[in-house]
Amino acid sequence: MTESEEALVERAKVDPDAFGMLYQQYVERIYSYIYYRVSNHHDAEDLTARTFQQALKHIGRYVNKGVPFSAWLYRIAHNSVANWHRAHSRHRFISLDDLVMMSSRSKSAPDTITERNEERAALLRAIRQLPEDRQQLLILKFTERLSNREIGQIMGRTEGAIKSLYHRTLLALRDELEEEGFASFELLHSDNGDEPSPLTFLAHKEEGD
Amino acid sequence: MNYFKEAVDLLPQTWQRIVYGTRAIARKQHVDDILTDHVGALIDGTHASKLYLDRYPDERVLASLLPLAEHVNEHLYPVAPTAGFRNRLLNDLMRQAHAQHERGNPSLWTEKRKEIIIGATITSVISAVGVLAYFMHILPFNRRPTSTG
Repeated sequence: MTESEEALVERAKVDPDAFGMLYQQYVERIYSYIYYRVSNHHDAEDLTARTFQQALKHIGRYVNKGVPFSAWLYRIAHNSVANWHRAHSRHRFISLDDLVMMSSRSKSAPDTITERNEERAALLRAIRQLPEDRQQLLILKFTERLSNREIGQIMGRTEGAIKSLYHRTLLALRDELEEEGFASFELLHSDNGDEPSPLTFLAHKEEGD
Repeated sequence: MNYFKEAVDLLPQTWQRIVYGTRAIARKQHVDDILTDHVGALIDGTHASKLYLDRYPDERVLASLLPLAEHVNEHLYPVAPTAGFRNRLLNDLMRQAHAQHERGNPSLWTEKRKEIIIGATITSVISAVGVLAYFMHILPFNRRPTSTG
């Protein structure tokens, strides 16, 4: 935690405006994290509100133990999401429509957009099949762009454990995608020979057969 | 004697397992490190999967995991809340924060009053039962009559 943030957190215990500054600083990250865990805007907004309300209620008892303030917020968000999943466990169907629609923001051709939406939907379905801690790791790593150390602080694990978990998560995700019907991933060189194209997501198995 | 011979026979096999296990662990850690480096580069905006594959041709698992990491990186991006939601929530929080500030930060007693009372009641009952049991044990009416001869 930087000194200025530490001072801001201390001030937020008695000064509502300081809490407002912390909110402005973290609301997007917390919202994004929750959004990927629940897959829709409505619940993401509800849980984001609950997370900050809990933070406000308990900030007086917050003690800096050497981990960033954001780790504390992520833990509150994680608990809110876990409670939400428990409450909705009887209705496991979660729409991915919102998430998939997001990728149609790009200005590509309609065919490309459809293809990308399908890829994204498959990926998100596969991620959703993973255990909770692996989903959490992928979201924190790829959307929040946190280091292994920061993720370890949030998840209460060592940096080495996060490294190992990331490896196992990729293996599990690959298996899930294969079960979804996607054959494999492969790097291909572009035809013009300048640079390798970053990625080609191979077609469905039945098409490849 | 037979047990000793069997144990001696098992030694090479056991040793092989230890060596194989150690190598497997070291190799897994090596792949862990490569994947961590790779995702760090991805997050920094460098698509270097081909470079990593060329550098570590023996690690066949990378051929599927590195492009997969690129795929995840491409499709998982931060999502922002709407401005309307942000402002609404900020206003709500500010109102709550001012109200909380006026009341003063809730003490542990205020927040956990119910739990504290239940805990104290249970502890008191257990203590009372303990004291009662002790007195019943030592008081004369609970003793067996002794023969006076």
